[in-house]
Amino acid sequence: MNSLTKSSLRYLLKHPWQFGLSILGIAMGVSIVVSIDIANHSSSKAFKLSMDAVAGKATHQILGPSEGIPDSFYTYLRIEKGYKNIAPVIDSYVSIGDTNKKVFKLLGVDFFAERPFRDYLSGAGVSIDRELKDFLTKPNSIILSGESLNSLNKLIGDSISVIINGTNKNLFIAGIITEDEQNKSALENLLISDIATAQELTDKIGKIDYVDIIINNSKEENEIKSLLPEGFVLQKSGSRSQTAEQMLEAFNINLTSLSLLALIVGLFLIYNTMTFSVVQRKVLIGTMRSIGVTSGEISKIIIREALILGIIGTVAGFTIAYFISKFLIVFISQTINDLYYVVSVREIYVSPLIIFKGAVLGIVATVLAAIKPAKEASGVHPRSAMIRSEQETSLIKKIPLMSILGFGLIILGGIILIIPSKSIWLSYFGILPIIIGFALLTPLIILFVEKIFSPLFKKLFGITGKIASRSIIQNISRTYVAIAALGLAVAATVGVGTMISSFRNTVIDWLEARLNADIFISAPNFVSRKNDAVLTEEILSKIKLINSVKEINFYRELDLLQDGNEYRIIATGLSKKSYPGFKFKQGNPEEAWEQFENGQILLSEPFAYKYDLNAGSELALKTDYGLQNFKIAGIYYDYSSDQGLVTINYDVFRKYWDAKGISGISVFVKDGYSISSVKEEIQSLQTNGQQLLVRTYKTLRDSSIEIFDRTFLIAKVLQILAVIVAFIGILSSLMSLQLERKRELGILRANGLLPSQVFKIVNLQTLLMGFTAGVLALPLGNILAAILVYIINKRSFGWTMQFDLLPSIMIEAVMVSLVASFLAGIYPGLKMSRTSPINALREE
Amino acid sequence: MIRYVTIFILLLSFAGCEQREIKDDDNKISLSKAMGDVQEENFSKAINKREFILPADHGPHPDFRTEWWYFTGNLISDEGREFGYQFTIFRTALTKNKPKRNSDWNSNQIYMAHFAVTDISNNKFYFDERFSREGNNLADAQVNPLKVWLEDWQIIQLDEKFFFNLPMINLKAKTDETEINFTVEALKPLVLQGDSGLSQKGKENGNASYYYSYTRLNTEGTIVLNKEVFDVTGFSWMDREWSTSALSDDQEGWDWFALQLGDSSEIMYYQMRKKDGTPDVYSKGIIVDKNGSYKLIKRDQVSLEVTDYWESPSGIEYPSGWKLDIPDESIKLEIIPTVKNQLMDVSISYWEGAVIIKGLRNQKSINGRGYVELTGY
Repeated sequence: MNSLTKSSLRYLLKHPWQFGLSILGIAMGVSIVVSIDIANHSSSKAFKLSMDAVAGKATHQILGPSEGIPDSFYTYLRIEKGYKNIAPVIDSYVSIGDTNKKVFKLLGVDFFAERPFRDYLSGAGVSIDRELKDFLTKPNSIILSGESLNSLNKLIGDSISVIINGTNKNLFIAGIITEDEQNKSALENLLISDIATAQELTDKIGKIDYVDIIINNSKEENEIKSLLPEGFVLQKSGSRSQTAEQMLEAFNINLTSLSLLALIVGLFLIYNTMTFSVVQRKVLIGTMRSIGVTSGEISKIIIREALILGIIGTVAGFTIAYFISKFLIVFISQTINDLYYVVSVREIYVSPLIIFKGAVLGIVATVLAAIKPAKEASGVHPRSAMIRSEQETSLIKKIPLMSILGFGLIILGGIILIIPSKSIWLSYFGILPIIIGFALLTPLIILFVEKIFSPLFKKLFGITGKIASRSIIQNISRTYVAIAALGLAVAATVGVGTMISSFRNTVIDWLEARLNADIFISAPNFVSRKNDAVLTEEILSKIKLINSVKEINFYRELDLLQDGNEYRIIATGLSKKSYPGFKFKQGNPEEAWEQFENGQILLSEPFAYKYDLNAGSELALKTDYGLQNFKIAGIYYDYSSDQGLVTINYDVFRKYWDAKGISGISVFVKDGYSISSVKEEIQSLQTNGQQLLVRTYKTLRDSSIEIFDRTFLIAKVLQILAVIVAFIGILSSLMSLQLERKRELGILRANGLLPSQVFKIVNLQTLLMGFTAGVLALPLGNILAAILVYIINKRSFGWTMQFDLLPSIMIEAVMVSLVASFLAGIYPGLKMSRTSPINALREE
Repeated sequence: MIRYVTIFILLLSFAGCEQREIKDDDNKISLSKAMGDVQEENFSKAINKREFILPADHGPHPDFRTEWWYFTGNLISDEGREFGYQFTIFRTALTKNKPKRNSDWNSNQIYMAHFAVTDISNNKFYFDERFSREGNNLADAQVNPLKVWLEDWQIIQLDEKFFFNLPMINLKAKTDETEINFTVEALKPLVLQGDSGLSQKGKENGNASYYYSYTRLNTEGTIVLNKEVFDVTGFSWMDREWSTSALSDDQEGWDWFALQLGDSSEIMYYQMRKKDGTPDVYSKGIIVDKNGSYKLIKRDQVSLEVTDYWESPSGIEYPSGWKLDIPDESIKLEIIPTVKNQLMDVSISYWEGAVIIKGLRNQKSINGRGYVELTGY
């Protein structure tokens, strides 16, 4: 170890606070990015694994019309056409348990067709305790993995009570599937039944959900395609998880971007730390230079220090990320389950790419952040290095240039953002110059704030107040980075918070307009924003017959897989009373409703955005009787699905699709009847075990908002994490700043300042810095919010949202800045005031 | 003939522990245990002699646990290329009565089929196995018209013409490599095996099957082998057998011979092997003369001597050549496999193959063709 390395190491060890906090800053930045990455990756991997497990070795799937594939078509393929590598599948979900509901996939298969497909179902893997007999002949028999059996606390031969399509059923456990490492994840939360049992349980007698098939070449593929009747599709077996991944794309990008925001804050901290460590050692560096150490050697030392900090911080970041991701996965999978599909994430999957990205962010970014300080340090003339004020004066001279550059960057960002594009990444790319631009404006803002507050502080606090405010400018090269970092973090909070609140208000307004009936009925469901379960038409007619019911609306939801996309069709039987609940973005409402009644369709805004459709154009839909073009009568605002909806008149729907059943019913109660008594009446209907979820306007509205809030919980969590990162940063930079002023305060003490006055100076100064950061954060935060609302959300989901300026969030932001800076000032304040002037001045 | 072994694969292939047992024990399984197990279900049993009613008995007997339709034959193409084939559809019941349920897939009957073609001239053997269930028309058996099928492997009555109470039948089955499509018609009347069709297999009451055969059926049709089509003719042998349990604890397996001799007579003989390797007293056979009249041959009338062995790829030694003497009938036969490896390496392995016969009857030389089945090795 040469003396330069030693000196650098000694410096770090002599400033353990600074050293520790900068590592913590890097670690937090890295850990948030990495943990979001891990959580996203784990949830999509879990879904893909369960899809792969279900698909087995099938290369393709044959999908039928809306009602499923008739049994006889399967037999036709097997016998008339001699296909051996095909297997029928019923694919459904059941929930187990009353309070802590667990969702299991129910896979109905024909064991005799399984051999080419799912290893875990053929041969040695399956142990059916009481022979195959029970499994095949006993109604409601299922098998499951031993681990699942244990988790349910059951034994072979027991029965479990489940809910399928909103109906209670008792399943009989006929045996277990032996787990090994390969099939373990495949078997998680999986119940397997005979196809006959599955048809009976899911009420799909005579129908198969899809036929798995192994196709070896395009000749076979074309052969199969030629055999498929209208309304049938052959699709690659991976396309379901692909569709799912596409659905999640915007969601994932937004999460990632939130995490990047945390990293940007982290980078400022790193930059701040590195700059500071250079500034603080200026005298030392000057001494070194004057005794012959070259400038290259100096910058090497700084870079090496950064590298060490980066590596330690990154490793620590990974460790923290592991724990944070476990916690984030819960939120993310909850959101996915609310919005998209059923997934259960039990394991954390880390890919090499995630590690690589994390390491690049942590190490490379730290080193990059150190380049400028290193360059400055090495470029310093040995003599001027000894002069402390040199740098400060040089920065003040640079302020006009920095400010012009800052404004320029902000304008550049604005230009990037208004480039017409659907790319979310481009939008984030446009945010970056705006953020940097604001950071460059920080010194100007500091000057401005000081100008206003310096006289005020003098008046209020006397000389100590004046010293406090002036010294921010005296030390501007160090204070501005800290203020920018804090301001940025707080701005992120304001931005995300304002966006969420604006979005929430938009959704509430929309919900209140749309949910204009009194009572809402559906079958209990697994994905909150999706309605797979169906009610029988019998229930609809029973509700119609209730005396106190004035009018009803109903709808049937259907997911169409078309060209690798999932189109959600809402076929509605709407009462005219509900028409005003729809606000149109395109199309004249009156005409649109008339055309709707005559067979045209309405699109929700996200759908139209996603597929570039406008009122008046046509959309081809895959009906049970082939592709059919539908004219678009209008585009309406809708926030229920980010995938978008196609709304069609129910009578028209039934002409083209055979899907029976009703997904939801809403009821208008006659005047003079109480809603709760009608609700009770509906609940007491004879439904053959079909469970009804009956909600009043208020409960449905509240539960919709609850889901909304749950969806954004993850954003809030990230926001809080970003504030924590900022807080740590601010603590570290303010503390170092104050500790570095040891000598200056020592002189003041020697000149007669009391310890309490020193404490006051330190605290007033940090408070003023916090306040400046708040001033910076308010415009930046609202600009960020506007970008999120008008550009990012629009580009991600196609939603038009209102934008609200929210004083409460802004006040909160300034408070957070003040509290953070106040807390950051306590320790240095105490320490400074207790330091004896003799010690503080010793180095003189 | 009897193929209890294979039937039980249906149950065993799904029973993990037992499956492993098979593997651990070099593909051997304790047949007698599987066979002798008392069923909870009250399946009908072959206890008393019965009257066979035709064609009804060609159809299924779902109240018995197992049943099969078995065809083997030796054929020759116009160009003189020689083939053997085996095609069997098995039915096994999980319960005596079909549970009443809504789904059409609901079934208590499982079907399995084995199909093999021996390319004698090229010393090659092709085989395959299939499973399915009775539901959704995937597999089933019916009489009037007679149809037994497992997907596109089928035994179908062709028209109203009957030969000795057996309709003209179309047999078809295929694998990726080979395919058969035959028309078969009985040339001789039906033969009731055992005691008027009650074939006792073990000492216990009910350890027996109902068993009849058509020992010579004219066979015409095509064999496709690796896309090459051969028009073939020859003779087939058909067995029909149904039972609920048949093996006793001390029985291990059997060697079964179905021989069609050049003088238009046939011999069937099976030797039940006990666990100690000795032949069981329940071994027996039948001799059919050219007019179709037949008589029982008992175990002590027959001497069966193994003259050669063949070791399977997994190391199991199968007999592969025999001397069969029936002194009372003045018959001395040498039986040699046409191809050494005719191992049906399916869910449970057994050897079943075309054989060639040379020998003497009443001191005159005689030859013939036949099929041999070896189980429990």
